[in-house]
Amino acid sequence: MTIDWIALLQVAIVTIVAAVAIVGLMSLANWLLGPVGAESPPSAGRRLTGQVLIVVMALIILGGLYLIVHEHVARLLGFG
Amino acid sequence: MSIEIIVLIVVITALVFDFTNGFHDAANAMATSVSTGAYRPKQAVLLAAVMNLIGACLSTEVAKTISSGLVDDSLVSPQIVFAALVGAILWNLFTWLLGLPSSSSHAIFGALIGATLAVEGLDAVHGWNVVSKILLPALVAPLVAGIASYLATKVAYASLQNAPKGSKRRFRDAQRASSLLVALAHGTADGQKTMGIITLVLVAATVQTGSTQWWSQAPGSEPHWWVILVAGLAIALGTYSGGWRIMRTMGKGMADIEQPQGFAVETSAMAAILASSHFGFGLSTTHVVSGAVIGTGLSRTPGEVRWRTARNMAIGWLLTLPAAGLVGAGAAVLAEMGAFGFIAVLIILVVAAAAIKLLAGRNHVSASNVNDANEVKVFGKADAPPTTPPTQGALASVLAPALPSSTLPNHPLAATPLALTRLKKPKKKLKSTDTFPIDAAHPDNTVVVLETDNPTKDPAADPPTSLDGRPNPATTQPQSGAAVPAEEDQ
Repeated sequence: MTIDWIALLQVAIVTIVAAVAIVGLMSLANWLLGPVGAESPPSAGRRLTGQVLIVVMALIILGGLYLIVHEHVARLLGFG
Repeated sequence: MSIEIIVLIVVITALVFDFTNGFHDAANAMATSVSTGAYRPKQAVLLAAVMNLIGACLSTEVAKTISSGLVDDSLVSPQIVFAALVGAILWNLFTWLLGLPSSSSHAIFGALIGATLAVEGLDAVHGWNVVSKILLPALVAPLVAGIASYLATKVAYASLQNAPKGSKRRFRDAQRASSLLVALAHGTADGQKTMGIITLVLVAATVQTGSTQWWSQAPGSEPHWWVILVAGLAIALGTYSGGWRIMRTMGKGMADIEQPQGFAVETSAMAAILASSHFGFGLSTTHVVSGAVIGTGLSRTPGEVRWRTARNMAIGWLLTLPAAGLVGAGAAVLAEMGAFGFIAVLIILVVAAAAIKLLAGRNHVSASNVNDANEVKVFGKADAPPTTPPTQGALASVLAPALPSSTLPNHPLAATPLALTRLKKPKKKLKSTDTFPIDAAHPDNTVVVLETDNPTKDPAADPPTSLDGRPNPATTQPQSGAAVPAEEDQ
């Protein structure tokens, strides 16, 4: 019996990269959606980019969820 | 005693374990959201319960391999499973009483190993799998989640530098979503354990008796639909009941957390749980979230991490496997003695559970006081710095013993530099007008409490002070030297 060190390393890397990426996207979106300078609201372009980043972040999370439930979902839908 | 009755008792006991698993682990998903005010306590556990139920029904992959190869499944009898459940329930209740976030998965695995070892001997336990599937992940999980959370917190706060007031609000919304997903992932992972246990018992009983009853189950088959349903409901009910003691430790006991930190914690935990599930490692959600909380604490305010709580928790983790195993072994030996022994174990379980519940009543923790910290920060002003630590006189009777006060900055409103902070939970609520002598050598030297972070916060409001000690303009008065009204006392 051996320990699958490669898989363990993959878990560590995926966890760290995913967490930093998701929080990074959210932080960037938060910055873009926040007021510019003293009080002026963000421009339409900034707002749109911020919203797109939030959607990308949500898609990454949903992709992660799909990874652990896809077999069951596929069976439920009759593809399994 | 007929096998049907044994199976019925074991199934009910498994559901009780599932319930304890739910309230023990409710904190994993919701503790930081409750402590940062992203959710109100009752709202949090209701949502977590729903997500746990959905999660439990989403996948049954783990349920088919409940023992995860730790023991020889073919040698496991309903009595052994029953004994394992008793060991796991009692350990879960004991750690809950102490407010220690320990792994329910480790409790059931430890108890199952102990029970199997006691009845079937060493050959029935696959020792190497215990190392690779329990011990190693237990070391790796908090470390990886901690690093992820540490870095994620750095990223979040880098974007908040010079940000105007209210910039953290979106993180609150993001934290709401991420904590729901952690609850979903928890339901997916832990809800299946009970399904697996019940399935294991049904398979064992079917093999033992050759029975073809409605509950009979062939080895390797999918769990019955009613097993999935009752297991999902039991963990959801357990989650809804709260587990407030552990939630307090997780949300307040290890580090003070703001909303961006809460989001970093939940995201790191979610990433670790999903990645490990995908790669086939059963990481404990408790270990993952605890590691992430410490990681974010170290990233933002290293001096604020309560290492004493973390140490107690680590000791709890180390003890979980052997302690649950010991109880499981004892219960298995008794349960294998026949009907008398089986009933004796049942009675012991009920009596011990009732005793723990009774003890817990002495220090009741509920949704109303879950955010009360075990330690409070007290910012005060004094005429002169104390020459001795503030552990004597009238102050001592209320606050003793004081902890080292060098870890936090002085309150900007204090007339004289005085870091009267990080005190053990006071025996009574402090008010902003309370005055105490602080110096045994100079009794006239008194401290006036300016504010504390002890009161339960309004979930919709920002904290009364930020963690770097700056007062929140929304909740404090700007007059220099004036006593600041404390937050609403509860």
